[in-house]
Amino acid sequence: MSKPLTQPMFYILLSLKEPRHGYEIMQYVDWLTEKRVSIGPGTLYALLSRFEEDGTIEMVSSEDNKKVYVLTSRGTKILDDEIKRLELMLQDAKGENGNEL
Amino acid sequence: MNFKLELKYLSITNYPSFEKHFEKLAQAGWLVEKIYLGSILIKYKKIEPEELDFSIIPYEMETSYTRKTKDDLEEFQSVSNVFGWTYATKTSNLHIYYKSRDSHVIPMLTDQEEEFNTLEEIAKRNLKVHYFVTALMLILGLVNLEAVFDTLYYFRSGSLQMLSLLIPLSLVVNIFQIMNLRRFIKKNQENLELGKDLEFNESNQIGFKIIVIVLVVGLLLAVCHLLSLFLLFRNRIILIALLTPLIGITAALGYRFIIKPLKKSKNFKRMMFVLVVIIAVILNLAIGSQFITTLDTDQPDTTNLKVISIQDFYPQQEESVGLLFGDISFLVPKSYQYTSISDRYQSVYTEYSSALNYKVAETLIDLYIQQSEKSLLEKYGNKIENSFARGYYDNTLTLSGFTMDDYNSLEDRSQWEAVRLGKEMLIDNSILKDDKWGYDEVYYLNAKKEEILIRNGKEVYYLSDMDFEHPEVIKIIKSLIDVN
Repeated sequence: MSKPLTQPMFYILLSLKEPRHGYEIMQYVDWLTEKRVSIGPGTLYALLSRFEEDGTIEMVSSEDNKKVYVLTSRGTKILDDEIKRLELMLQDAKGENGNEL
Repeated sequence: MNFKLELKYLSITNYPSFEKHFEKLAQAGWLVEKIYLGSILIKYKKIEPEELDFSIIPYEMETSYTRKTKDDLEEFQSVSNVFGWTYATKTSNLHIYYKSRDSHVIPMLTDQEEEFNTLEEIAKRNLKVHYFVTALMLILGLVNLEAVFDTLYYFRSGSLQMLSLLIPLSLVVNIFQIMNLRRFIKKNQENLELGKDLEFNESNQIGFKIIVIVLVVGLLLAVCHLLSLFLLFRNRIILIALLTPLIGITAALGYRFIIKPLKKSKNFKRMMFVLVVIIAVILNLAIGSQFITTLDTDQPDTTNLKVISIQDFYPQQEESVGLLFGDISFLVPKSYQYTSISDRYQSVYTEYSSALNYKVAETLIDLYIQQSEKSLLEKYGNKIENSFARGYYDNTLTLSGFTMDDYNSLEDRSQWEAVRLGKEMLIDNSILKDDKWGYDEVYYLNAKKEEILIRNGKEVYYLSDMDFEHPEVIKIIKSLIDVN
């Protein structure tokens, strides 16, 4: 299993299940979390740079200086692993019988 | 003036203090405009005093195999602009944004853990560079130290004297940076694990400024030194000394600005890196060897130099090769050595030094004598030892200064004492002071009188490969030395 993702990493990868550019990612995360989670441009672009470098995401197009990214198969696996991990954590929190401890 | 410059070191371990610093300066009417020389010289432009908030963002411009292009940055800047932040400038890995204090917008950085992850990546890459430079400085330092022990060479060599200053300073700076970065990473890893905030340094930068000034002055002096050697002595070897780093820097810049930004795989870029290194090495070897082969036909202009040439002694012989090497140093502001070789393969050799003062000139004489003593012992010491060990005089010692008579006079002594006294006799018979010449100090440095050392005021001459007892030779040498 991959290393646990930080909150911004998780939401950026989640948003890139569909091709999106930087501004769209920030808007999507805002909408999805009902503004609970905000990702600053500095954090966003640092992560996009790192994800692209290690092959987690790839650029699919570049128009009007807007680079559109999407998850690679590696990125999809990392996200799926993280979702499984979070589900297991939630299960632990709810106890063996599914009741909250 | 509409701008001002500031010498301050902005780094990943201290940038939050710069945010406050920039805010204070903006209140005073100065806005950061550009950062030069990596991250140490900051330029500000004049503005109307304003209350601004600054945010410095660690953002990797380049890694070992990638480099962001202008286009990559423009998107980042334009999206930040949409959210109310204006781009000011950047260093290699730190980008500076600002906004009006009145505006309430999403911060540029919203996650400390991510901020630290980026800082850690940058720090680890910087550490690799510092490790490499430290290792290089240690190797250079050891080589330099070995040369320093050859104190005669050290006195005359400007490069050595400068390296003696620059290498320890560079070592100190690099070791300090390594300790600083490692401490920074470790401390903040612990802080994040404990749910604490990131910690940064807040230094007053005095030590840094002193070191930077010394290093910059030292580097400028080193470059001026090499260039002046080339201009004064036409030392083509100096060109090779300058060419090698130039080719290396050009290759590195080519890789950095052409290959790295390409949207290609890491393997491709690794291959290209290896190829660039190979090309740089081949170019160095090819151009270097081309220079060296032409040295044989080099005929330097020795008109204004105090050197002897083979034609001074044998006018009928032509000088086929003249090899001139000069140097400039703090202790010996001018020195050169010249080998003159005739078409019949006879040679004469001159080493000239113009010392800083009389004391240095006298010290040079002592160093030359020490060097000669060492050379004599290396050449003949074992033969003397063997002579006494075997019980008969080694005839190859005949012209050394340790004669058969000397050997016979020591036969009754113990072997150890005979060898010790024999070596002393060798030195005493070879290195002889001579008052006939009429100069401040004159020494013959071997028994055959084929090496001579002369001090005339602050000038020191070492000459070899002639019979320096011959009256005609003495006349020619005096005419050389007595020229103003």
